[in-house]
Amino acid sequence: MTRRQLQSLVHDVGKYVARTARNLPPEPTREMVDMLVRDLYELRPGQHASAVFASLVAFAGAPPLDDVRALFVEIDRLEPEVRAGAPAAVGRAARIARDIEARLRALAEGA
Amino acid sequence: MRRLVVIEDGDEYAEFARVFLSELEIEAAHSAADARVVLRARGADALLIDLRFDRAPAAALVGDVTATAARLFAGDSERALRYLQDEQGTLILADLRAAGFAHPALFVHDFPPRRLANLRRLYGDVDAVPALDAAAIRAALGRSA
Repeated sequence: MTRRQLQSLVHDVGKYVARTARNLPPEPTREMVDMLVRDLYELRPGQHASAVFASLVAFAGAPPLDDVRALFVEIDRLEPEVRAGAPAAVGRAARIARDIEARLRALAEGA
Repeated sequence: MRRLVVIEDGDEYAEFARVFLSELEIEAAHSAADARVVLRARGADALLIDLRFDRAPAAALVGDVTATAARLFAGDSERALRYLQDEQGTLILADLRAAGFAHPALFVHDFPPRRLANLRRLYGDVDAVPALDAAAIRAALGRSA
């Protein structure tokens, strides 16, 4: 995976996956939670962010990024509670999304 | 209320700005032509510009694919289209500056310092934040106020 491809991936994750998570206050409004739900579970019609991410890194030479995939699995596991607006799950999903972005950014900076 | 014109190929930045920068009036534009119309009609205090326009059709892009392919990519139209999409935000800014719009411009992109310095040399009041961070955007817009 080239530095350019990694930077592009970081840009996409920051723009689509972490945009709400990064800015979520301790007590988010319902509008903010709905935006987080769209980012994580409805990124493209019928597709979770985890599936979109998998398709973005599904090419020859891409690193396995197993840690990031595992974090997406955890986000998917939280879906019912996040959709219900459960504060602990919303906070946890947002933290994981920020962690994903940070890991990819660190990888891109080190490439 | 300050007015921010958001220029992007989708709706993510504008949607973000309406929720997390709610003290600003937000209007979206999806191409250079669209932005010119908006700026002429209603003006703005600043521009928030996405760099990559990979969902925009070639016809909506600033820059001619065939000419760019001939000039930079030995006739390879696919690479030329990708280049125009990847750099579309700066090409739109160039287009707007050429049309006389000198509004402060803010990119959401992690530009290397030399690249940002070059953009400032070419286009004046230009800043960048590395990510969609409401506090960082607010601070950058404050610097250009």
